[in-house]
Amino acid sequence: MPKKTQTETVTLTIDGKTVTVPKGTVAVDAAKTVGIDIPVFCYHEKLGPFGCCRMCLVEVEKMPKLATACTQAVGQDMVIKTDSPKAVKGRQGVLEFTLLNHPLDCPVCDKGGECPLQDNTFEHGPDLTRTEFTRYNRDKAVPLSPVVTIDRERCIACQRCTRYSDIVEQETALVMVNRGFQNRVQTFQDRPYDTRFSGNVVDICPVGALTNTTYRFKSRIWDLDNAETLCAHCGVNCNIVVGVRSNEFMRVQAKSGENSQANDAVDDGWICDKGRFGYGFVESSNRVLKCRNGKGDTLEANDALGQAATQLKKITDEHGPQSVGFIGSPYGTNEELYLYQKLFRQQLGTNNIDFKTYRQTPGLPVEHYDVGDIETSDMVLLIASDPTEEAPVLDLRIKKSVSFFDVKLAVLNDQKTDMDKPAASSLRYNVGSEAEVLSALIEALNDKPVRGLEKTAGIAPKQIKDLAATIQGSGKVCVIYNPAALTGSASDRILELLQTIGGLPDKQCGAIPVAPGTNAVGALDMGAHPNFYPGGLALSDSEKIKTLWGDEAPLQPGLSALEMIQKAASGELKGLVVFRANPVVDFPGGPTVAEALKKLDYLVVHDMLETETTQLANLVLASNGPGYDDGTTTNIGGRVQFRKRSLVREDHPPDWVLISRMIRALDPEAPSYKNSFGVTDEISQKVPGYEAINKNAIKGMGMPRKGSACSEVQGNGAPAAEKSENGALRLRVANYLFAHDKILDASSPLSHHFKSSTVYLNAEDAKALGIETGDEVKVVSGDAEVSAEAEVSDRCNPGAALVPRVSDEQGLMALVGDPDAAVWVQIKK
Amino acid sequence: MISQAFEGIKNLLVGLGVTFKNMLSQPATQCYPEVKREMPARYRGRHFLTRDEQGFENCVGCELCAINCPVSCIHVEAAENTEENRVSLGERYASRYEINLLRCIYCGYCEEACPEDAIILREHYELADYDRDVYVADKEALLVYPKPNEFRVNFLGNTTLKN
Amino acid sequence: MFAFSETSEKEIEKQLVKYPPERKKSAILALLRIAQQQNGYVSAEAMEEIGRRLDLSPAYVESVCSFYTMYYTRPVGKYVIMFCINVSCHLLDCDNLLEHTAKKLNIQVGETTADKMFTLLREECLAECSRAPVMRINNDYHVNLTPQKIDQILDSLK
Repeated sequence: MPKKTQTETVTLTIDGKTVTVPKGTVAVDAAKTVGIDIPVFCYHEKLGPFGCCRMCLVEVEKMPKLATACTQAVGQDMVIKTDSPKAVKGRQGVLEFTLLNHPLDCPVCDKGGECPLQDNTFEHGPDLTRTEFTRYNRDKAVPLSPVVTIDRERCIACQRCTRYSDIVEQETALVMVNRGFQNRVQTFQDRPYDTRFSGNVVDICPVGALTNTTYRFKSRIWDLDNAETLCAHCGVNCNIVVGVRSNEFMRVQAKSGENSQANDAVDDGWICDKGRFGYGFVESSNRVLKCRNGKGDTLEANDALGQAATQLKKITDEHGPQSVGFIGSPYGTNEELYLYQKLFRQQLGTNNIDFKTYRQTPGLPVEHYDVGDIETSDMVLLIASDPTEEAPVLDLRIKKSVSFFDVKLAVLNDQKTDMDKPAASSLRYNVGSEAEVLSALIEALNDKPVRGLEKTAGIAPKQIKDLAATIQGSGKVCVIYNPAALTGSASDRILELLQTIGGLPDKQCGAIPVAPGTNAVGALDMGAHPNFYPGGLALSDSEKIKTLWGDEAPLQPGLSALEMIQKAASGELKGLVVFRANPVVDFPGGPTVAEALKKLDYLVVHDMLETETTQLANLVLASNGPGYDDGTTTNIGGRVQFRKRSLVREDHPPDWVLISRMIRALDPEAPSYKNSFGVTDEISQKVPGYEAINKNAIKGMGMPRKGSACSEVQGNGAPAAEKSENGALRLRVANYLFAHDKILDASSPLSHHFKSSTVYLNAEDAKALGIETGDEVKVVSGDAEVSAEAEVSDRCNPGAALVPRVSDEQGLMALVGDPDAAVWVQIKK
Repeated sequence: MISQAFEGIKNLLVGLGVTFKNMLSQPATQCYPEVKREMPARYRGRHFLTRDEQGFENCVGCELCAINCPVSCIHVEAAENTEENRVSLGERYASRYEINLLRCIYCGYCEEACPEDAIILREHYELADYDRDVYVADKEALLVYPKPNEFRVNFLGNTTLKN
Repeated sequence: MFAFSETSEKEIEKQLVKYPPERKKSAILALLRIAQQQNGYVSAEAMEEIGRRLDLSPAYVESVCSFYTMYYTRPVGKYVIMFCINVSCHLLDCDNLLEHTAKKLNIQVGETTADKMFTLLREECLAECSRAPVMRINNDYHVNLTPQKIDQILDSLK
């Protein structure tokens, strides 16, 4: 793969056409630039040259034999002929061999219709085969994993899948075993091929050998209406193509070279298995299809939203604007969250708007880097983030950058992650000591002496100094961090760190905050924050707020999501709207949150799936959700893209219509929008940073929005980490990609990934507690307890208990109280 | 003058010759519906789905008929054969197969496209009915293969299968 | 569970120093050989262990191991008979000779005798076409084979 910054070019002739391409380009890609299609099987532009299938034979002048265009790097004044009789005959011969044992069962093959082997045979193949032997029969339809099926007869041994597993996924889980006639694609000892990215092999397989088990025989590809849209799971917002047949959901594919141009600025043409197979929720039996009141009576959408609006207004009239609140979700689109904050700020006059339980303010003191910037950086500093579980395709991007673009990766985390493997250096600090570690790093970058951290953070000053030296020695630094995993004042320290790195001489620095949720960046930008208006306008910026939002705009600081729950418990908060969130399970406190919500006079839950929270609601508004609703989302790199609907629901309005009608119910003068882009246009006028965003601008690749200004980075110094008492361990809640929640329910094809509750203990602590791997233990904090299986490992430093969130039933959040304070747990047998 | 008269008489006799010839021959019209016409074997009438010698359906649900149909009157949904439920010999079979006989233009492209010779158009031409719903022929209706001209018209005028 | 013996460990050490540490995966063939020397064949556990030592996925080790026919992935007998079946031998009737051997040992090709003495395998080309038909028993070549000669060789080994 040529480095992207390559500038040297060569000029050559392909089929009489003159081409100028960067040096090092292979002939296949060079031909593509002038519209000449050289057939390939084994070559894939993201995998690089290989040359095992021989499909791309071309004639190169002055070369005695035919050359494979996929491995032939072009040279100055080269003359390539793709259609000379010699080349045509050569390719015909290759195809005859390729088809020697291919079963030609195209009518029953799921790839039929989009199969490169079919297309290439049609265009370049011989009319008849000359072989008289019976075809070699091999295993058909063998499950390679619960979601991928392999048909060994159809395989042409192009090795795209095995090279993908080696080069892109970097697991080398899929390999060719045996040789010659007997060779076959296999995992180690035929174990299931269940990596996080296994589904991509279905997309890149140029024949029908690897197929999607969930799509098996569901339809033929010509039946499908394909919608190019976005994945709605994590914050990467990968581009996907959803295939729909007569308004029924059929399959998800990555938007990649096979169907249309991959969006390299976002996903590089790959998606994770959750994105591909985790779409059961769009047709789940657990969906909220109709609005209903607390008694369970079904309501028409218009009546329901009218009731919600008037009731909330009534509460504000009686108890003041501070008595209502809105808890949104990072899973909403920009339009939905924008309209909700408008409803609460303009119509109800409150700033009680939030979407998260961690601390984060809009804006960064440095540039907000796009995902593509990772490749061009000299160094990536990964802080407290576990991309493999939290934003999988980012994991692929980092691995690619490290392997092919010589990017140095430094990991700073309190747990062992898959990113330690590609990392040049990886430091593991004690759980809860991130503020201290970051402070020390800032000091080291400012060339101040670094205080001793061994006792509190488990890191030697020298390690911090080395890390600082690496940062100082790198020209372009990209900091990737997870704001949700930073406790205490670390959320301020990270901004201070960014400011410090950005302030170093001759330094380019940018950051990518990777918070959980599809649209966490967009939610912050849309003002789903108690202290910030859309576009990161702080409440102190009253003049600007007044010009944009009118003189009535509330300027009193609002309540955060957790404060709202507290006020609900104390009875001060009367009305609450919960949009696509499930506080009863996901918020710290667990059952106590349910108690608080029960005390509310009026709880409106706007969601697409039945949750523990919808059970408590006085009014449930049905949400169509991803798949059915149009809208834009802003990904972790600040890129705004359009999430097109792929399915149609005519019996229920989209969320943006529903919310705008709520606004109109209170203010008949409020605008009504023709389509979701109408709201987008209003966002571009009202939200600083989104000025350039409109329907045409975000077509195709999407468009980065301008990051909002950062509010003053607050003061220095971090309190020393709290000390444990009575041998209690500090709890770290980790993430697991395939958690068994409402989105991935028991019927999900990914259910084989579900894990049982596990607590990871360091060997030191385990020894002191007398616990061994496999023991059934209870993780206890106060009254709450969670049962788990113990695993003794080096996943975290001594003094901590790491528990991944694996399911809703696990009830893990019940252990957590105030997320800012340390959570101490006892491990009991 | 004489030659002209001779020519006239000759023409008259030739013309009458045709008349007399037809007086003696069988009439071309048939007393339908009492008499049914034998259609040529390759006549494109109603569609049928075929079975093989073992009684398995030939159709594998590949939908090539549906994509080739110029009026999109065929709808197919496929499913996988299992050991317990084997419908066709291949991996898949058509779990749903419907043809809208009203929309169909009887062009025979589906027959042409079928890789398994599973769909055929035969000589059955009596397709009239009073009920439009009947015209969406499902698998059950298509898998029956009646011998030619075994339809009869009942007293309401509906075309039904004899016996 | 598979574990390298002390002698094997010493051998491994000797092999690993031959390669730069960042290219230690090059030692895979040597380690496979050592594992086979120790146990007679390369078991799945051995492949996993080799993968751990060389930072390779076990699947990759299996891929390499299965490519070479002289690494055995199943237990083999004391004598491994490899029968060439390529062109020269084929023309000189190796098929019948192979069948003859199989019948004599009372096993199928690819199997091991019950007394764990002989394993009979097919092999593509043993590079001894001038003296075809050929078979190889452990490290010895036996050439210009006839049924009588095979009987004689096998009897001498029993």
